Amino acid sequence: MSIEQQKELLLELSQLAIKRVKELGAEAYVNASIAKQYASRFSNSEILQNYVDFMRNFELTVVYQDKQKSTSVTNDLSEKSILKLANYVTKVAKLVPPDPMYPGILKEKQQFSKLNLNDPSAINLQPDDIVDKIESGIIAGEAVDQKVAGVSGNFLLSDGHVLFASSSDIEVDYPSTNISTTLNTQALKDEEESRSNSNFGARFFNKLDIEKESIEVAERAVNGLGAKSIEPGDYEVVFDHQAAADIIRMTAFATSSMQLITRRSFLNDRIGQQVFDEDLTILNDPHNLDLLSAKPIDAEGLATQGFPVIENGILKNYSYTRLHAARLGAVPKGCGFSFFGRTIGIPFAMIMKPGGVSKEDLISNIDNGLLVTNLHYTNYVNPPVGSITGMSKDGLFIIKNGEIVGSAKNMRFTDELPRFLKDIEIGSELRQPASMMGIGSMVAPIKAKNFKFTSKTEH
Amino acid sequence: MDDLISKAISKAESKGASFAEVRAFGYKNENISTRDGQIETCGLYDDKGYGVRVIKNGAWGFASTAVIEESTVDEITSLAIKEAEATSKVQKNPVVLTEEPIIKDKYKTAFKINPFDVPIEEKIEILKLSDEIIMEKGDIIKSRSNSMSFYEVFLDYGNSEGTRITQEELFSGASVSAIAIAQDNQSRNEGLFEMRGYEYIEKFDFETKSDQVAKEAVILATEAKAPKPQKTNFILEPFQLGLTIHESVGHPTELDRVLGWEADFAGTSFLTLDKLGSNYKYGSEKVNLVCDPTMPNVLGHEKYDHEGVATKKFDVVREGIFKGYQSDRQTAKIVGLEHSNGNARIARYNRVPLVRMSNLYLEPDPEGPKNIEELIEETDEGIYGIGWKSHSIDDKRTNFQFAVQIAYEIKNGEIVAPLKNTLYQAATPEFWGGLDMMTKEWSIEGLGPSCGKGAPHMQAMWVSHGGPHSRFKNVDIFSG
Repeated sequence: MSIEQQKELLLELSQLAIKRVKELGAEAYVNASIAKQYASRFSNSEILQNYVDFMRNFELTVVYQDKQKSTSVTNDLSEKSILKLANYVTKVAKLVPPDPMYPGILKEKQQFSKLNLNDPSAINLQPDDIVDKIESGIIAGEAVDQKVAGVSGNFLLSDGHVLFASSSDIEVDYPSTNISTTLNTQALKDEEESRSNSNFGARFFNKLDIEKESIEVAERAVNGLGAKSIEPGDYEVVFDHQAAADIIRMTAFATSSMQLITRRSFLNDRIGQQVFDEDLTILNDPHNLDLLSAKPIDAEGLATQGFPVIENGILKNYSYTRLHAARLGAVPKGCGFSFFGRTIGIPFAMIMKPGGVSKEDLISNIDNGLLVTNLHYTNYVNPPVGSITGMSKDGLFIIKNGEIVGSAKNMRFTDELPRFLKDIEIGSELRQPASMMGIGSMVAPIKAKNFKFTSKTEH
Repeated sequence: MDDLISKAISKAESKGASFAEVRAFGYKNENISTRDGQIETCGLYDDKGYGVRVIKNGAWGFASTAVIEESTVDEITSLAIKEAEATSKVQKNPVVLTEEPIIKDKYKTAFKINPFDVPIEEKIEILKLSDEIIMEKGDIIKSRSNSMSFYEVFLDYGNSEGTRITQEELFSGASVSAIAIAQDNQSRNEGLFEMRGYEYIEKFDFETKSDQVAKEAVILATEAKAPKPQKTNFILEPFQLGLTIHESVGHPTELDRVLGWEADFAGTSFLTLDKLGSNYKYGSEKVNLVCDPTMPNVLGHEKYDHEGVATKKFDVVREGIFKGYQSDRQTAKIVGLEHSNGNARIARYNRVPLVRMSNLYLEPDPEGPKNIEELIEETDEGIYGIGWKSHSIDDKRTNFQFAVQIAYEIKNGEIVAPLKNTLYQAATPEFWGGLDMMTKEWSIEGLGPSCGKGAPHMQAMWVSHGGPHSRFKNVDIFSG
């Protein structure tokens, strides 16, 4: 299906649904998308599975008498199914008790930025093109060193069309392409294994430099061999890009209005306060085309807009849905984001203000510390104090007298975000690990003066 | 559906596939939830389609569509063939599957009341009453939420070996949560699922659970103390025991992880192939961990897995010794097993099957104390932990750290004080090596569609776990 055909289908169906809902005396908005997805899973330097899917999603929200709301989703894009959906959701919206704080359907006209978010050549890609790209990454990684035992990972290219339409005449549609890739390279020496991991993405297929990433990952895997067991405790650390992205994402969750509503955020009631080191500045920048999570419109039809989340360590803005903003007396800024069936407010397109020194310089100023390249299974332990736990994974390196002198076996950390982000320095090079759950960020390495590792592993 | 399946298989074979399978799969999910007395979600999620998976030139190819119509079969099957041809260019080891019996069957899970026939107003009324019970505990309760969720799942499966299966599942779940703020900010929640109809809502018992959750949230926020760091006896109730089983036994015994196929996202496993058949000691002699998806009414129940293999009961650990992996047809063949253990599952029609948990539990001790009260009486000193709060485990599944929502300090066989912010941290074999006492009473708890695995598309799978109240020796406890 061509881009024009995709667009026409989504427009026709959204108009059909909205017309039906209006006939039934209610108002509605539609979030719909359609995409062709090429995916691949590879392991031990061979492809396990290639697959292709034609993804369809049609989410209809009906609002009755401004205060009653219901949402349902289908992937059946037949007219019959969409009419059935419209009848059902309207019936439910009329049954649901009114929420006095719900602000009703969005009626204010929005100024949407025109963003070019697609790769026009993606529609012509064939399975062989994907395989060739992956194979080039495997070959590049294996060529780094004889100790490279295998390249694993996954690949996803999603190319399609996104639409928002409402009965209040808001209508936005745009083509969108997104590519995400993960590489995980294994190095072996005798009985010992070392792995390294990298997530990365691109909007344009021909700009996805899988070979360069694969070489870097393979070098890190080889350098990880000979890992020593070191004792947990307080360390000065440099979080490389992927680890930094995890930490920023955990921090971003604490700025979500959902966390304010439940009173579970350590950032509750802290707007205007110096919570973090003054070097930390994070913007939500959804119109920045370099960000893979950029978009012109949020899940509720609001035009997205840029704003500081944290500026020089001072908490500047929370991210609200329209309902949460109404409850908390705030103004929403286009941060509504569909998340596991709910709409939450989240800064989904973050960019960190880079510092003035390279990662190597950050490392060179550490006498006794660690370079943390990747984190695994990071979760909040106690959200009201901002404590998180997780593991280092696939690349923990020992820094002595300003130099990396070897690798260390993985350790668990348990620490509080507002504590260890209080004394940090930011590196100069921005990179964009692939977004997790649609929440993207462009981050620089972070040096933290003190970070708590609490236990260790044997690998 | 039979015609579509037959047509796709014929098409695949005519294009040179040595094996083909067609999997139509879908689910309807109704979810109703409230937050602070207002409806937060109320609606349906409807997702269905079919996928064709083929082996050609010894390689897998898969294509899928949401349009379950015979007119799409040629295109989808041809795409699957094209994907297999592309895969074969970067493949070292041809795909070989275990031989499995040919099955022709139709199966439905049992239920009394179809939740989709129950009026939404009735469900909302139950949630409102639950909310009011929590609110009665006063201003100290700062946030309340609850939910009901119902799933109707279908699988139509056929393969080129002749297997044809239709399987329908229906499951229901509920949750309730309260956040209290006084001297501290604390939350307490309960959320469970079973493979039952709307009758499960009565079994869940919103009234009792809402009261209990609210009371305990107040205790946590007002009088509970944080535990001091210590090594002590640690008792887990069946739900939190189940989560511990899930992370420290379920995932490391998935054969695809062991083979490195999930290294990039979910991780690998410490349970390397050399440990199979080597009498590897996973835990104490009391540890009997069993995978049994044939057990009706539990959330992980399925008669057939999503490769058309009949599920079965098998030992993962018996008397503390590691006995077997969870597997699918391909991974079982790779390690020389005669048959798959029937663990291939998908979460959506457009995903490829992965090795997934179903129903994995710890067997109770027929010689143990009758129930938790008697187990506490048998414990001179220790901590009793209840409910999931936080979890994290390393990529090989050895180092884990979990937090429980509420705990109780035990002295001289009695509960003496409530505890908050209680964490336990351990290494997998050492933790299971410390299991020294279990009750006779036991239960299996459904975790809901919440187990995430697989990349690039993460698949959220519904699983169940549990066992008796269980006591572990010398566990590291601290607060955080």
